[in-house]
Amino acid sequence: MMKLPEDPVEWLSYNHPGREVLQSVSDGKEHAPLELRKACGIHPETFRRAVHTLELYGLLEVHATEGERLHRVPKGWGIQVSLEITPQGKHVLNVLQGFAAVVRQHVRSLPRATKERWLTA
Amino acid sequence: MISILLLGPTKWERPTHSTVPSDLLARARKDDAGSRPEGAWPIDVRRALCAVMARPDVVATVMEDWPSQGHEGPSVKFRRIEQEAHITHYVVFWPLGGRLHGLVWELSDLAHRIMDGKLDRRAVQLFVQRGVADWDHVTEGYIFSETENRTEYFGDLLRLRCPVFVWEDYSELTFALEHRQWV
Repeated sequence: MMKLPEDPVEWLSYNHPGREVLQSVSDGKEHAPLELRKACGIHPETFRRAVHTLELYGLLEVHATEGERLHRVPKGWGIQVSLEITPQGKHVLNVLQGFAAVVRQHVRSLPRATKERWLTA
Repeated sequence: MISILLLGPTKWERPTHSTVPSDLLARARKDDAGSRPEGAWPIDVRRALCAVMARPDVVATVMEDWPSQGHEGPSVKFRRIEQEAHITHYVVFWPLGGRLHGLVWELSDLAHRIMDGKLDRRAVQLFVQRGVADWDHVTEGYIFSETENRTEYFGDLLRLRCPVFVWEDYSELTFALEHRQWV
């Protein structure tokens, strides 16, 4: 497993795809992975890794799409899934949005790297 | 207080125990793993995972650590443990080489309770090892290939939208369980 910081806020502070995905599910609704990936404009493998890491931190959950059942596929049984933000994910996103708001307040006086980190997602 | 019942296989259907790291097994309260010549069993791993999940406000247990009373059957024992341990959440652990057939009654009971609105779907979380299930980039879904080792009721829990997490290795599983917020 790739070494991850204990704090998901730290990981999200430098992982823009992860932040983009989490922000895109912030409405609390279920999202189809393909539509979400296209909306985020992220490469499939980058998207898969971002979703997986968000799951590792318990910020995003994957579950079967409403009304879906297991169906036979050549390699076994398949099931369509949806992505949904968890309550913990909402809290973490609030913290990130709070940081971004503070950075915006001090945008003139902060270093470029700080602005790029917090105001780009 | 969060109280978790960690369900899963007791023994391997086929040997894959070499992938279980010894530092994880060392966290088990009952270190039976060292006494088994063939290596750790899934029950040893589950006991270790209970220790991983433990926090001041979280306790986790396995059914095997609760001795049967009198002639009680598995279903009565399951209900008794739920009451005595004040179980609030359930984790279903499905590693490669393990089968869920010993959990038919338990998984069906959980599925029925979710269907009846007596249990929140998020109270039952499914942790499946990669290889048992894999992400399919074409359908943007999961494909379960260990079909002979599942039960129909595991499929029901999936259909009822219980969260499913597909883990790559035990370090990932440990990280995920340590960071899970049980709500």
